[in-house]
Amino acid sequence: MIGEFEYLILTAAANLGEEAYGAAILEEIRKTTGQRRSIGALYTTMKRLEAKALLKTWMGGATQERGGRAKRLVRVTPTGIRAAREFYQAMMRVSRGAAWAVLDPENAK
Amino acid sequence: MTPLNMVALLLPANDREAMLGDLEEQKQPKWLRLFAVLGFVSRQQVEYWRDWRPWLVGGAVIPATLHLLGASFRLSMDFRDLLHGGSFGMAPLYQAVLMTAWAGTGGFVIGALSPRTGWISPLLFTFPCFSCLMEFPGPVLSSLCLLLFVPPGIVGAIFGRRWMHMGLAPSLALMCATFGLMLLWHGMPRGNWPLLLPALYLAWDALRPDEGEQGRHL
Repeated sequence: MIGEFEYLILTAAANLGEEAYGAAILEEIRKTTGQRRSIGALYTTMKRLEAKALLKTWMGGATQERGGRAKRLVRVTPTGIRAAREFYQAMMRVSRGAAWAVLDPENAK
Repeated sequence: MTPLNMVALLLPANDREAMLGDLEEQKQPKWLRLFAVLGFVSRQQVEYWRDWRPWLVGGAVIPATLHLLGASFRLSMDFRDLLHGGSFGMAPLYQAVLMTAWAGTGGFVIGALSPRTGWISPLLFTFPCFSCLMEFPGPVLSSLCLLLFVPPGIVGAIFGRRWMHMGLAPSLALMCATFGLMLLWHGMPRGNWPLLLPALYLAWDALRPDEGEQGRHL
């Protein structure tokens, strides 16, 4: 099964669609979880995901705001979608019955 | 060139381009960018070293270098004797071809198995070389005679890094020729037999079914 950070990257990349690349994925993770992850950790994990065929990356075009440097664009593969779904379902199963696993946090108290 | 760009040179070109672009877009301070790139370089090296191949290469470099230093020295002495009126025999010829084959196949395997961790091999290679050069009796031969195996080794490493695999026919031919010459050369020290291992590995690698490129480019 994939790890938590791997799941975050796959989910962020899937949500971003055509606009998924390093800085955008980090920003998406920061917005949704509040966690600031380093770009080194992101790229290392992305390489691992690509080696496992869960992600596909390729070089895109350069933009001015990036100092004329190209983006490494990311797409989640069907295997990646399956792996993310398995992780999500496992988290749902393991959380069933847990006090925090309710939609309204007020009711959990 | 800034320290950031210098450190970024340690990354493959595409990673460097994408990462520096992302850091530029994030508008982080220069020192944070430097740490980010350093962090990625370190993490990448940790990832590469989790595989068995760089460890195998790293462990084999020193003993292989010692054997090749010995082979280089023997070859130089034999040619020196020949030039000073010694009788002509096939042994120096066998030695010359074998030393080239050992160094070339060894270099090829190093280049192919650890292209991204290859920096450790020259580092490890210098220890036995320096210690032998320090002890070398100068007046008989030039100390460079110890390093005759270096050029074929470097050429092998460059091709290994570029090609990753050798074709079935050339690898089998190389293995058979090396093995045959080692059998023919009666005076060969027994300790040189392990130098056949790179040629055997190349033949085995060419024979086995392709396991995909991902795991083999470390």
